[in-house]
Order: sequence, then C-alpha cells, then structure tokens
Amino acid sequence: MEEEIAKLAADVAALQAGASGTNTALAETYYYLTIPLMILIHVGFLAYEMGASRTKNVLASSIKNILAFAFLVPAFYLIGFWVYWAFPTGLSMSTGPLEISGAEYAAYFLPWSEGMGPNFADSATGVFWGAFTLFAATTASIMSGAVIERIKVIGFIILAIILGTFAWVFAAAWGWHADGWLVTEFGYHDFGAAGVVHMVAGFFALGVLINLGPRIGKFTNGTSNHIAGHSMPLTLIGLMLIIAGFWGFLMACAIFPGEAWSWSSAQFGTIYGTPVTLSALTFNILMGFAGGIIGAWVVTRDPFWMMSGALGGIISCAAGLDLWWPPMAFAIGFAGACMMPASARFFEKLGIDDAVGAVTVHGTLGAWGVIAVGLFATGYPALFGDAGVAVTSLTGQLVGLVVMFACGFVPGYLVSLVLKVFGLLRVPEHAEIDGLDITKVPAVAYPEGISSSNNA
Amino acid sequence: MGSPVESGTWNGFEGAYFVGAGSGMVSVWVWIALGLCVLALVLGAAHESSSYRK
Repeated sequence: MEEEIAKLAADVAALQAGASGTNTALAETYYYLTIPLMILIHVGFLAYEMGASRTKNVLASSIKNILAFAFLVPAFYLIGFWVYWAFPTGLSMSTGPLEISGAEYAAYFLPWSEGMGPNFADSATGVFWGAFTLFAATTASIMSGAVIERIKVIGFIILAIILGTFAWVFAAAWGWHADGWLVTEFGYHDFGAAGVVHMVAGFFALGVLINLGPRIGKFTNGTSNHIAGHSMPLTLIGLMLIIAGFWGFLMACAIFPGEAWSWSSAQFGTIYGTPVTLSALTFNILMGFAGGIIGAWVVTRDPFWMMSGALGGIISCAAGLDLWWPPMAFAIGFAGACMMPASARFFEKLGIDDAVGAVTVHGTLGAWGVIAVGLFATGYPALFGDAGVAVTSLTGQLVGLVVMFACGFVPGYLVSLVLKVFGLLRVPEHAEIDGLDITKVPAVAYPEGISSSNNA
Repeated sequence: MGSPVESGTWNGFEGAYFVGAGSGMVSVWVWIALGLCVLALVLGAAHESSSYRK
C-alpha cells in the first residue's frame, strides 16, 4: 500500500512538473509571438510613410523608420526597461504597494544583471523586454510619420530615443503598472495604452512639429496646401499592416496565467491584475476597427482617412478594450473617427504640418479613448485584490489625461527646441527642395524612369 | 454607465463584466450601433447618387 501511495505521489509530481513546464513554454511562446506580430506595425509604418512621401524623399523616409527601430532596441535594453520598473511610484524610486517597483526591484533589469541575458532560471524577462521594446519602437514610429520630408535623421533619432526610452516609459510606469501612482491613487485605467503610448507619442510629435515647422509649400499666403504622397496604395497597405500588428500589441498587453509572475492561475489578467479574456479583446478590437472605418467613411469618403479611422477606432477603444460591450466599442470607434477631420483642421489652422495626421489619430483619439473610460466605465476596481482599491472614475481619467499630455508634449517641445538651436533639427532648404534621396541616399527608389530629384 | 462589479473587488466575481451588463443599456447600445450602420448606408447612398449626377 505504501509503495502504491509513493508511486502515485511520484506520478502526480511528474504530472505537475510536466504541466508546469508546458505552461511556462506556452507563456514564453505567447510573448515571443507578439514580437513578430508587432514588427508588422513597423512594416506598416515603413510602407505608410514611404507612400506618404513624395518620390524625392521615399528612401530618406525609410531610413528614418529603420534607424528609429534599430536604435530603440539597445536604448531600451540599456535604460528604458529599468526606468519602467524603477519609477512607478513617482520620481523617488521607492517601492510600491505590490513591491514590484522601485530602485531595489528594478536592479534586476539593469543591463549588467544576470536576468537581462540567457538564464535557465528566467524564461520570462527576455520576452517581456522584447514586447516592451516593440511598444517603445511603436512610439517612435508614431512620431516619425508626422515629421517626414524635412527632419534631419540625427535629430530624429535623438528624439526617438528620448520618446521611446524616457517619455512614454515614465507615462507607462505611472499609468500602466500595478504600482503606478496614477493607478493606485486615481484608479487610472488604460488597458491598451491609448494614453501611455498613443497620446504620449502623438503629443510628443506635436511638440516637435512646432519647432520643426511646415514643409516648404505647405502654407502659402495664409492658405494650407495638400502635399500628396507619391503612393496612396502603399500608404493604405501600410495602414492595414499596422492594424495587423496591433493584434500583437494588444495581445502583449494581457498577462498570461499560471506562472509565478502571473496574476491568476487560470485566467488572463490586464497589466493591473484585473481580469480580461482574449475573447473580450477580439470582440472589441474588431468592433472598434469597423466603427472607425465606417465613421471615417461617413465624414470623409477618403480611403486614407478610412484606414486612419480603422486605426483611430481601435485607439478610441484601447483604454477600455477589456470592459466595453462590443456595440459600445463600435460606437466609440465611430465617434472617434468622426472627430478626425475637425481635429486635423484645427492643428492645420495653427500652422502645424502633420504630414500623416499622427497628432490627430494618436494624440486626439488617444485622449478620447482615455476620456471614454471616464465617461462610460466608472466604478470598476482598478486593481486586483481586496475591496478598497481605487476605482475607475472620470476624475482619475482626466488626471491621467493631463499627465499623458505633459509626458508627451513637454519633452517633445523642449528637446526639439534644443536640437533646433544646435542646428540638428531641420534639413537645409536646398536639400528639402532638391529632395532628400538625391542629396544623401546612395540608392534610388525607382530606377526605371521615375526620378528621385525634384529638379529632373 | 455603471459597473456590474459592485463589491469593490474582482475577488469572487464571475460572469459578464462589460459596461452596462445586466442593465437596459445593453440593448440601447445595440440599437445605437445598428442605427449608425443604417445612417452610414443612407448617407453613403446619397453621396454616391450625388456623385453620379455630377
């Protein structure tokens, strides 16, 4: 009898070890797969921005995108990931209520830590870091489209590093972390990063655009001129690829169950520990996407804005993707898309030349997404745990809104101002007129009969 | 619009948790979504007819 019990216990232990190993492998694979999906975002931005550029600037625009992604990888490895874990409680680097933040905890994410490399005892940090790195690169790509055809590449890379390694990371530490002060004190809720990624990047771009100035020919005699890109089809395909990549982005916003670092043994959680299911995301992403396209179609009839509306519809719903009733997601996405033309006209009247509408799609609609949670989804416990935690509220969302705007706009404006003073922001006038490709790119975009020069 | 999580904690909560779950607002939003689709089709038809006339 005792032998049978011992054998049974050994069998149970073996089964438990097997199940645990399978779960760990699944969790690791889950986040690993979000990374190539999120790379589609960058494929999309690459195509989108090349299409939105005139023939003379196609490759210069591509170089900017490729380098932003590349520089963000080491920058986020060397400092960005540490910032995220060190600063959730504010600037003091103190430990938060859940004890998963602060200087001591964040030491594990310093670049000389054994956790930040191949390690049999830790199969999670690498894939988490990878997913966060792609979030960071996304912020840079959002800013990238707004500034095409006249920004110096070095100035742009510096701005991309500041945005991707500091600006959005502080916003994420404060509003997208279970120890973040916006969450613990104000119940700020932003499941899909409408504020911490889209708003921050959109308004960072606005700060840069003020110092960068419009492209030559954009505004003449007080009127605004449309500067068409060279390939609308390429732009539309790019936008659709960004949306495909968004599935990876939003997938990476959910915390896999059953691991030591998971919130639950059986159910996906949000980054705040509150429950979510992939079904909830599926319902609401698709409904927001559709609402955004249809809303934009009604108000513009323009395929560029319709596809931007698809993106804008998802962004409008992003903060509450875990909470919306799908028809609500449709209506919120629809409403967001309807706001786009007015927002774009508003910024244009201020003399802002946002070449792809990034401030509108990401900044304005990100803000709408944050406010929508405050208007429609109040009263939810903002964190997991016993009763008494902060709950979602309009006040909390408005506080978050102000913080997100400041995290984006202030560094965007100040850093670009410094770059402008040192002559690192804008290309010379003759290069802008001749075309950036023929000026500095040792390759041609379309060798067979289509010139890269404005003068040819 | 109200949260169905009334106890102030997610502990022990089961079932539908979306905004308005269990209230009449659920059908209101269904009708709003349907209405927006119909509105889009009506306006789209008017735009298309107008474009062909030009």
